[in-house]
Amino acid sequence: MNRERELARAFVALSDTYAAEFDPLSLFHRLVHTCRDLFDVDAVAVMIADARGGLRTMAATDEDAEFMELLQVQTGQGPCMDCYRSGTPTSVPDIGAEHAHWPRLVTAMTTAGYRSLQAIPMRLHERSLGGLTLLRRRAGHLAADDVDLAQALADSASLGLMHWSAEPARADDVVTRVQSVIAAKATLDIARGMIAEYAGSTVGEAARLLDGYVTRRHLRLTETAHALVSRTLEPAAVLEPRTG
Amino acid sequence: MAGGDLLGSGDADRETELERTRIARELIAAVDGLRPPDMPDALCRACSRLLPLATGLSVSVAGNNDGTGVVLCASDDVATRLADIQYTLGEGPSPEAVRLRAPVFAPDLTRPPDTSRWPLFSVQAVRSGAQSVFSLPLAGAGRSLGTLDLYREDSGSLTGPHLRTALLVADAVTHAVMALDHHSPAPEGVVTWLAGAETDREEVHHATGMIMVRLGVSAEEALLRLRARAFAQGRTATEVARAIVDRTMDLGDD
Repeated sequence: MNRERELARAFVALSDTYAAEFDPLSLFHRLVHTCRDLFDVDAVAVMIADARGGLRTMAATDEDAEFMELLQVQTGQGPCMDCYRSGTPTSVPDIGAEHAHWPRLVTAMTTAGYRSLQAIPMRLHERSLGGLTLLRRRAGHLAADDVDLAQALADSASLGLMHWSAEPARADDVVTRVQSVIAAKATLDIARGMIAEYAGSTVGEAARLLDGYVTRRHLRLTETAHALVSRTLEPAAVLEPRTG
Repeated sequence: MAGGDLLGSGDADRETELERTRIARELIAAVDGLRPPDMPDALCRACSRLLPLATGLSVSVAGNNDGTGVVLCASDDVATRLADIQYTLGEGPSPEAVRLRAPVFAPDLTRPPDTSRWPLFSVQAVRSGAQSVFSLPLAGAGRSLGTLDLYREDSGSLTGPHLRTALLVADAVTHAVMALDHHSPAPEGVVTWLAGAETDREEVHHATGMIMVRLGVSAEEALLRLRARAFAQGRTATEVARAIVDRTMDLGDD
């Protein structure tokens, strides 16, 4: 499939919020994987602002500890927070030059093997909801066209988040939608911990096991995580042999 | 860019932690030394002091997925009545906040969309003396334990720093309710849990899931055990969670 067709498909997938299987966590999952597949980048994550303050990771293409640490050091400050606060894209072409600015991020990015970063705001009309972070293993700016395309994909996902219910969301309801997804992500993280303990694996491996299970069986990630945490689904089921 | 009044220039996590600490101190001071039966009303009074924007407030504990609940405490009769109406009708921001595990706001109950969204509740709420209500979930591990419900005599939104403070007060109340609900292993009870309150981090959720499977306990019980261990060891919940996730700490020797 050529790139134009891939892009067209991605836009449809991100705006298809009336689909029966629509799940806000899957929307973010699709956004980060689409960006990694379409752009010249090595890893992607999306963070959303919690009304309590700080950014929360909603989805990432990599669930390993070093990558999670890289995101964790940015929850309170960093280029993604700057991007969220300003509502404009922020580029860090060479993390090696940012020691004075963000020392902890320099360490975390270097440890995880990344050199440059592009942050794209997640916007709903004039309101900033969070940020999309695109990471590369080499230095340099992402092509301007790709920044524009990533912004368009991020805008589609933000709109999808607000329009997935029959009722239109007004300003007072945005916090309901955003916090609801943050709560769903917390449940997903508990479920990942359950799988990790049961399988004797890392949390990153557990995340992949769970993703594989819901994909094979065409289940909603949010509902499957909730079923695990409320004990109506056993962790053993997720580790079933891959025949289903 | 209008992203809400929360957009400061400093470290957002640090600002949140400072506010969280201020709230925990206020609530601890309010309940310290009290017998458990006296704690709910004392908590309610402390919440009112922390949330002067609200005319009144109540704390309700939800039943098991059946839309029922009980009012744990209320600052005045209007707050009690608003909670009762919602449980009786099964309609209103509070049941939705429990279901969605997110804040649900009715900033003006005298006009649409609030009147069309909650046709019965809006009429009765206005008649009772509330023009706006704000329901904040008590977010337990993986489910809502209940709600902190604020009301105002006049209409208006809950935004920016007021919203943040309200959510952080709801977090602190959540920990207090969990401690009142379970038989807390430490004699310090509620005070212990308030002191251990901290921002929800991915590691804490991961560790909660691991403890659930290892010890065969519910998510809330697992989180309580994690907090108990953190308190006993003088460490933060995040530090203990990291040790559990890294498997440098054994889960089974409580």
